[in-house]
This record gives sequence, structure tokens and C-alpha cells, in this order.
Amino acid sequence: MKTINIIILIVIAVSIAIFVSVYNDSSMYVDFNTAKNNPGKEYHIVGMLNRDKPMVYNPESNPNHFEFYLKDSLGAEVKVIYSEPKPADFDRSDKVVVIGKFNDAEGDFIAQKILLKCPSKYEGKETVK
Amino acid sequence: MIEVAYTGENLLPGNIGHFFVALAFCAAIFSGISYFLAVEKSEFWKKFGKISFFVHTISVAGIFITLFFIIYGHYFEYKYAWQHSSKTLPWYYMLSCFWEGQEGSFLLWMFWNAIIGILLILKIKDWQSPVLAIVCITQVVLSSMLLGIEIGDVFKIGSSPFSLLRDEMAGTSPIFRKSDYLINITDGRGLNPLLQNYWMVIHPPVLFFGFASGLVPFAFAVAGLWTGKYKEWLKPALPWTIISVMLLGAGIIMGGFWAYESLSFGGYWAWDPVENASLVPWLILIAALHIMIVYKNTGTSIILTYILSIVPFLLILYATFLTRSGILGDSSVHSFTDLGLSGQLLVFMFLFYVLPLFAIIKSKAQKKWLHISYWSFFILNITLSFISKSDIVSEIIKWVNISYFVAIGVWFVLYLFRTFPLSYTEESFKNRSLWLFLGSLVLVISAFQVILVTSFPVINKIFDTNIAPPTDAMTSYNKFQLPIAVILAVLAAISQFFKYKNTNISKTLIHIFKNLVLSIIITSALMLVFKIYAVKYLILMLASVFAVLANLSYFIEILKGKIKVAGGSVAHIGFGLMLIGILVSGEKKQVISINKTVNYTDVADEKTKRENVLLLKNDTVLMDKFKVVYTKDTVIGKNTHYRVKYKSINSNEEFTLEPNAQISNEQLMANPDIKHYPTYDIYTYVSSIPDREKQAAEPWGEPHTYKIKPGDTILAENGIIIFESIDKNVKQQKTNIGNEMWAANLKIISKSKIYYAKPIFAITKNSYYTIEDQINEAGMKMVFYVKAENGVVSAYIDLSERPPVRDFIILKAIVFPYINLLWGGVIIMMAGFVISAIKRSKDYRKTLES
Repeated sequence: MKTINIIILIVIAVSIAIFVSVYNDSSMYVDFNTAKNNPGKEYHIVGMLNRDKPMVYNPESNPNHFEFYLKDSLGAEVKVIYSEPKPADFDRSDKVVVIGKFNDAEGDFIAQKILLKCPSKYEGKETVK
Repeated sequence: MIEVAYTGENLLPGNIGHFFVALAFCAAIFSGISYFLAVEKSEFWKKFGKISFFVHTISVAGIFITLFFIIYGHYFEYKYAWQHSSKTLPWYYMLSCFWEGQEGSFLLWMFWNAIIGILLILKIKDWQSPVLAIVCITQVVLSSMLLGIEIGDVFKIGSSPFSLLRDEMAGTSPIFRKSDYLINITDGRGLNPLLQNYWMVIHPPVLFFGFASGLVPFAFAVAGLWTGKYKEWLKPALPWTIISVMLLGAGIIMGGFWAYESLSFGGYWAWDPVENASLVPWLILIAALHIMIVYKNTGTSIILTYILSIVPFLLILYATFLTRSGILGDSSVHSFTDLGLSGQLLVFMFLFYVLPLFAIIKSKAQKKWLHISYWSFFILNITLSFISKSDIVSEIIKWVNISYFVAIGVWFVLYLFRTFPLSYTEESFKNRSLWLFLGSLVLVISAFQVILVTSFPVINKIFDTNIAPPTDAMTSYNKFQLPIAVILAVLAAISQFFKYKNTNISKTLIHIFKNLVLSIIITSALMLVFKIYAVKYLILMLASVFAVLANLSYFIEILKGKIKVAGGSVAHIGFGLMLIGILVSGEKKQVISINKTVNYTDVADEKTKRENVLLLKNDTVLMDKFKVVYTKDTVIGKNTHYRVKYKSINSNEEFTLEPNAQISNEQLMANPDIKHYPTYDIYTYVSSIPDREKQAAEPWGEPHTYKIKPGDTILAENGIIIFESIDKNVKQQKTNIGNEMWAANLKIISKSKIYYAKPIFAITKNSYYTIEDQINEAGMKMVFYVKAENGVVSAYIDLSERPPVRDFIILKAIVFPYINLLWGGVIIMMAGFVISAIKRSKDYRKTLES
């Protein structure tokens, strides 16, 4: 067998392995209910911030604890806990992507990471007063 | 509609700008057509192409200067100036305005392309016409992105940087209907504070230069297919490809350095889609560079050479699409929004995707078929998107497009195989070309994994799925990229010891073996120095050390220290050092700002982080081996600088860091400050600050009334108040109200500091009132008044208390050990590219002379 054929076979095998493995590693965009039914598994959840409910960040008692309420696209509302300081531009965001999993003891969503979608971060819709 | 005569506007620069855009667009078309005719018909056309390309370049420079003039002169009647700049902006940040906006970015890209075009005209004679024809196509495309012509309501060609604010905003606010609306526009919205950083002045131009230079291998490869001179383009293209690798690499690493120095995400690389989008073309360009060398030296790997030369530019267009279309919305921290140009970007991406196929097809009949299918497909798309908004139709268009896209790719590859029949020469492991070939393939595999994960949002859009990037990006990417890095390092170490012909195999093996043994010894020593014991990291360390040593020995023993021919070795040494830097700084990175004040046993999740620490002003906190005190904050310009003193507990080592933050619109834009040591960095940033408004809204406790005489002391919750004296000569600020004003001089000894308060009691003709004094830092509010009871006049203080407002910052501090190896390695690698580009360009000039 020629060297080149072996190499091609190996490349194809590696590519397939990457495909499968990348797929296995990937997360999903789901709603809170799906995440709740699979506690311990990490998901991406896109939601809108509920500003009527309190956003709690008391750095003097614990600088690594921030909690807020997020409503997903199906209307389910859940308390999200984030073990980092409150993100800087959080107050200006409406749409928030939280990445994490449910903590079955408390029923809260534990976010590992938060992505913010600010109305005007780079370029967006402007308003003139 | 009534025409309004607007006053105060300066429309001349905008008109000049529009003129230059139109001229640049037309000159690029004319130049492109001339160069096309010069290839297809006669050389006669070449000089027209050349002249109009010069006109084009001058117009592009004209657009640039006009836009800068508008921003510099604060002509806020132009939307671009209003949107991206403000009056207080220093001139060098006005340059950054260019890359904040979409239009400015395209302009910058076009500018570099024009420069590259001019350099190509000056440097290459024989390949000028076909290559410049392709450069002109990109210039036509890019300048059309600035045209800003609207056809109806749905279709928009480009977005002009010279559009007027009142035109763009007409629908949003009625003020723009007033003739003197400019009086209300006193300042622009200003530049994003994140971009107000010196790295942001130089990183984007370099990155865009890299993007623009990716066009060169593409243009040469297509020109080769087009003219039928299948191999000759390699020599002139090679130095350009190396320069392109260098520029793009420099642009990427500067972005990393900017992120490290001025963004607060705690590192230089985050596998963010925006970063990945520029990394992938770079990896493929490096693969292309190696495979081009194989093709040039042995004549094999032709097909791969063509594919790898063409793909980087397509990937750059794809990257532009990803970052500019808003499709990354949910997966990236860089939230770009869609400016309505994504459709146009897709059309252009497709245009360049089809171009190589047009070039390779020689038969007139087939060319005709390609034309018919391409244009009918194009018209079908546009008409359907115009007339139908139904979901089913757009679903059908989508699948037609995708199948056509795949068909074009397959068609092109089939044609490559037809044009270059595979010659089955046995590749031997003794031959260097096999090792280079392998290296290119591994780079492609590496890029494939990155682009696959980055493309999830696109895959979701096409297949209606909802897959998301891995939740722990670092771990997931490292799992793939670590073994790839090991293989690459080993290949970088050994390849050069093999020759294209007549390798002395025993000599080669001796070289390799000798360096391997030495590497094992050094890695064992490094293991103890760096304290890295995990096997997978030790393997990477060994491979990287091997790459450094083997190339060093090749440079000294085989090249005899001749630096001019050692570009490859130098680049490989840099690559090895870079890997060691990435490994050690990443693996041994340590967050030292661990908060120890909260008991975490009740929290179920073991992963709960506590990586931010509360620093009360003037309190000492122990962080790793440092005593850290936050002493004061100073406002410099728009930024608040927080002075944080570090003092080592083991030695006399002492230093001060000043992480700063810009607080605007309730946002905290934190910039880190870094203490650089040769062997490690201490990286510090402020992750949060007290919420003053919230603190001021805290409720006060019930007031307590104290009857006191001068010299008396009150023992309060938050400290001691000494009533020193009554001041009867208080200056009356509001003379018409008060006839007489008395003040109580109070000294407050709180737990941390001494404060003075002066509540006031004022008597008017028929009444009296009080002016309270409030010391938030002591948590006290005092009201002073005097009452006469039974002929005795007594003084009273009403004291309310609440928890004192404390001044603090929340700090995050990370130690990055040996990160200088990374920066040093990258710089050496770049130097290697420069050396080899010079060498290859000399080679090319020699062939021209002979």
C-alpha cells in the first residue's frame, strides 16, 4: 500500500473522529424545563432579564455571589446564581445567555458563564434625545 | 414633502467623499476590465489597467482623508462622525473610529488592498495583469460596500460613511425636520471606551493588513489556473504568502496582547468565535506555505497547493461574514449587530468561491454553461427574495443554494484532478516533502476542528438545530489542539534534517536522536523548575523543547549559523518557545485573589468559584505570598485609578499596581494593570466597585436625642462624637431667610478615621429650621437645635445611624508564570517569517535576472 493512501485513510479517520467528538462535546441551546429535567448537565439558555425581581449582589458579604431572575423563551422563570461579581454592563442588557446547569438541591440554575447582549455595544440601534 | 433648508451644515466634505467613493468604484472596474483584456486579448491594455489602478488608489486615500477630516473637524452632521467620535477624543483615537464602524473597516481593508496592488505593480512584471485583475475584483466589491445606494426599501448596496445624520435618523426623531437641528447635536456619541487603548490603534490595521494580504496567494493561484502557467506563479507568490502569514500572525497576537493588557477577561486567548475566525485562515496559510515549498521543490502535491492557496482568502471572507452579520450573537462576547449587509457579504463570498472554477475551465462550451448556471442562479435568488417572503420559498432557496454551493466545490476539485492527473511517485519517509506534506495536513486538521466549532451558529441556521459551543471551551479545544501541537512540534523538529533528494539517513537519524536525548534531559529539568508533572503536558513540553533544540542544532551545525537562510529554523524555534509559554502560563496560571471570608461548605456545587476578593480601603488582605492594600483612588481624565500596594511576606519586594476603570452609563470598563517580572506576571483588575446609589438609599435608624453641652461626648454605635463648641458666626449663604445661624462643631472618631461635622440651627423672625449634616463614611446623620426650657437654653443633637458606607474594590489577581516565553516565542517566529520572506524574494529576483 502506498504511503499516500495510508495518510489519506488516517486523515479521513481523524476527521470523522473530530466530527463525533466535537458533537459529543457540544452543548445545546435549550429552555429551563429541559435543563431542569437533566440536572447536572450543562446547557446554554437564552433568556430575558426580569427587572421587576431583585438582582442581588452584596460584595461586602460575598464578592463572588450574584443572583438574578431570567425568563426563557417559553416563559419559565428561574433564579440564576453566578459565582462571580455582577458583570459590568449587566444593567444595560436585556437578552442574556447563561451557560450552566441546575442545582437539584435548591432548584436554582448555577451559571458558569454569562454572555450579555447589550443593545449598543459595538453598533446598534441608536436613539437621539 | 416640504424641502427644508438646513442651516449650519458643511456638505462639501461629504460630497467630496461621495465623489471619491464613486471614482474608486469606477476606476477599480475600469482597471479590472483593462487587466482582464490584457490577459485575454493583448498587452496593450495593461497600461490602462495600471493607470486606473493608480487613480483608484488615490481615490481610496481620498476617502480616507475626507473621512478623517470629517471626524477631526467634528462635523456631526455626518452620521459616522456622530456615531463613533466625540469632541474630547485625541487625534490618535480618531484613527480607531475607522475600525469601530463597519464602513471604516471595509475602507481600511480596501486601503491595504490598494497598497498591496501598488506593490504588486511595482514588484512583479510578468504576473501583473492576471493578479491585478483579481485584486480589482475585490476592490470593486469592497468599494461597493461603501456606495450606500438604496434600491426600493428592501435592497441596499453598501453603506456610505458619508451619509448624513438627519437622513439616517429621519424616522426616529422629529428634531431632524427642523432646519437648525444641528444646534441640538453638540457632541458625538463617542468611541467605545474599550477601543480607547493604544493597542487598539495598531492591532486592527495590522490584522486587516494580514486579511488583505491573504488575497495574494489566492490571486496568484487563480491567475495560475487562468493563464495555464501552472507552476511559475509559485516563486513570486511565495514571499507574499510568507509576509501574509507574518502579518496575520502579528495581527492575531497583538489582539491577544491587547486582550491581556487591557481587557478584563483574564488572559490572552479565549477561543472566542471572533478570535477563531482569524486564527483559522492563519493556520491554513501556514499549511499553504509549507505545501507550496513542497510543490516548488518536487512538483508534487499540486492539487493540495491550489486548494490551500485559495481557501485562506475564502476563509477570510467567511470570517468577515461571521463577525459582521450578527450570526454569532448568542455565542460570542463580541456582539456585533447586523447592518443589513449580510446578504451582500454572502453574494460576495459566493462570487470569490466561483472564481477559481471560472479560471480553471478552459473549454468555451463548459464556460458558457457555468456562466448560464451561475447567472440564472444569481437572478433566481434575487428575484425570489424580492417577490416572496414566504417561509417555504426561502426554505427552498436555501437548499438550492446549498446544493449549488456544494456542486461548485465538487466541480472545481474534479477539474483540478482532470488538469493535474495524479502521478503515483512513491513518497518516501526519507524525503523532506513527505514531512512537510504531513505538517500541512495536521495544520488543516487543527483548523478544521476550530472552524467546525466556530460554525455552530451557521450550522444551526442551516439545519434548524440548536447546538451550542462546548460549555467549557478551554478544555474542549485543548483536548484536540494539544495532540496536534505535539505532532506539529515534532514535525517542526525533524523535517529539516531530511532532504528532498539523497538524504543520508544514518546521519539524519543521529542528529534527531542526539537532539531527542538532549531534549529529554532538559525537559526533566524543566519539569522540576515549572512543577508540571501531568504526563500529557510533559509530552507537549518534550515535543516543544525538541523543536527548539533540533532547529537550533540544524541552524548551527548544518546551516553553519548563516542567518539569511535560516528563516524556517528561526520560525520553528519561536514556535517551540511559544508552545512552552502557552503550556506553562496556562497550566500554572494561578488566581491568587481567593476570597476566604465566606464559608462555602453550604454550597453544593464543588465548582463554585471564589476568585474575587473584597479589599476595604486601607485594610490588608493576604493574597498568596503578598500582603495587599488598597490605598486610594484618583480620577485621571475619564478613568478612576485604584492604587493597590503589594508587599511580599518573604522578602522586601514591594510594588504598586494601578488597575483602572472607566465608569460610564453605569458600566464599569475595567482595565487591568500588570506587574511584569522576567519569569512571571501579576495581573490585577477591579472586577466590581461599590454601588454608591444603592448605598445612599440605605435606610437610617431611629434618631436618638442627646442633650449636650460643649465638651460632652456621645457614645454611638459607629463611633464617638465629641461636641467641641458652638460656632455662632456661621456665614449666612441665604441671607434673606436666616437671621441668626448657629452651628455645632462635632468631631467624630469612627473606627477607622476622624471626621468633622457641622449641623446648623437657624432662627428666623418667627420660626426656626435645621440643616442636618450627614457623614456616610461614618454612618451618621446629625441634627442640631437649641431649645429654651424654663428659661434655660440647652443644645440638642438628634443622631441617626446606619452601617457606615465603606470604600472598597473587588479585585481579581492572577499570576501568569513564564508568559514572556510566549511573547518572545511569537516575536522570534515573526522574525523567522521575515527572514524567509527576504530569502524567497531574493530567489525570485534571481530567476527574473537569469
